[in-house]
Amino acid sequence: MIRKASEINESTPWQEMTVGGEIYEGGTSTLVNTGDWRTMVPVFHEEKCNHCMLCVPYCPDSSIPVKDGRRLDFDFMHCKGCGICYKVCPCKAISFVKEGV
Amino acid sequence: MAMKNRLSGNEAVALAMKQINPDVMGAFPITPSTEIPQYFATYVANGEVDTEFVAVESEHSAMSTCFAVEAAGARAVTATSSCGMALMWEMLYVTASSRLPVTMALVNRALTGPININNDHSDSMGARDSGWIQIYSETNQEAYDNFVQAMPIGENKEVRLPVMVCQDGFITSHAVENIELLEDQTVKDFVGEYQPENYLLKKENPLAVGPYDISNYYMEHKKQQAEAMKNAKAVILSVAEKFEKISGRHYGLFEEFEMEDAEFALIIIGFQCRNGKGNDPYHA
Repeated sequence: MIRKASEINESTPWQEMTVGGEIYEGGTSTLVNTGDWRTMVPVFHEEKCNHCMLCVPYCPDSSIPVKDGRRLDFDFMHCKGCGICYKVCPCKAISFVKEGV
Repeated sequence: MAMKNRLSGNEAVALAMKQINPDVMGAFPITPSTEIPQYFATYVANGEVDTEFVAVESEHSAMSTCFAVEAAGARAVTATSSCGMALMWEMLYVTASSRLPVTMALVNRALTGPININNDHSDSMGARDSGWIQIYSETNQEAYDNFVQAMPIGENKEVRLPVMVCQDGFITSHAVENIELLEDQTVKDFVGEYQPENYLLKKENPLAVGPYDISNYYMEHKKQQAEAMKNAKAVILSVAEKFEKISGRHYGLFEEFEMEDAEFALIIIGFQCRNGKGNDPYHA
């Protein structure tokens, strides 16, 4: 029986894992919480944003979702806190702060 | 119908490869295995096989080629010796742990220091725990027979491990002996088509091979690999049984000699078995 990546976790025994760790589907990196690598965090100030979309292609982790031509708040499960969006934003609609302070 | 011939070990293995007609050979020359890709390249040049011969720039690339070919869903063979195999080191583990059944013709040779091109088993013994199945050959006949059996063993769904078929440098690889060969079609039918369940070129099934494995997953995958190696025992015996039917030659996990009333047993690998048998006072 072939299991989906979403059905396999760190407690799955060898009998239930795919052979050699093969993954039989695409896009499974979205299942992995890489947001906890972050020490700095971007903060979105929607009132200052003119939705120019410059931050979106600059984000190396595709962590800025867009809907109907407008950017939404960050995908914090995958944002690694690099701060590039904060650097490129021409409207100062993104601040960059220490996380958990 | 068996064909009698006189061949060196290298010629015998190259001929087995020709009869199998694998999809790709990725190989780099090194003494004493050089002749295997050399003979095989001639078969390719003469159009006697359909194989794509990849003339790589190092053994690391030879094994990387084989890894990629198997992941894509095709059959890959290589040949090497000694330091050549040492240069494959990283990829030996990657291939075994990705469970890709590459078949290697290894002509055992000493690892350098001081430089030596003659035979010992330091190359393959170093790779003993790499996850490769190792089959050792006493004679040219065994080198040929083992190579024909290697793919049905390694490609078996319960195994899925790479196999190295070992013979002794110069002593077996270069000495010419009488040999009994199988018909081309008999070998092709025996080895069959490679039919992996999942492979990169299967477009309806996206696949990632060799993803990053953190410890919790890694340990489980190593356990899988160890279980596959245990499964190989029964598969080796069943392939040997089928091989006996087409060749009349019997193989097991070990060849036993005068063991019935033995007080001591010697475990010998490769051509030295002949010396072992020759020194038996009852059969001198």
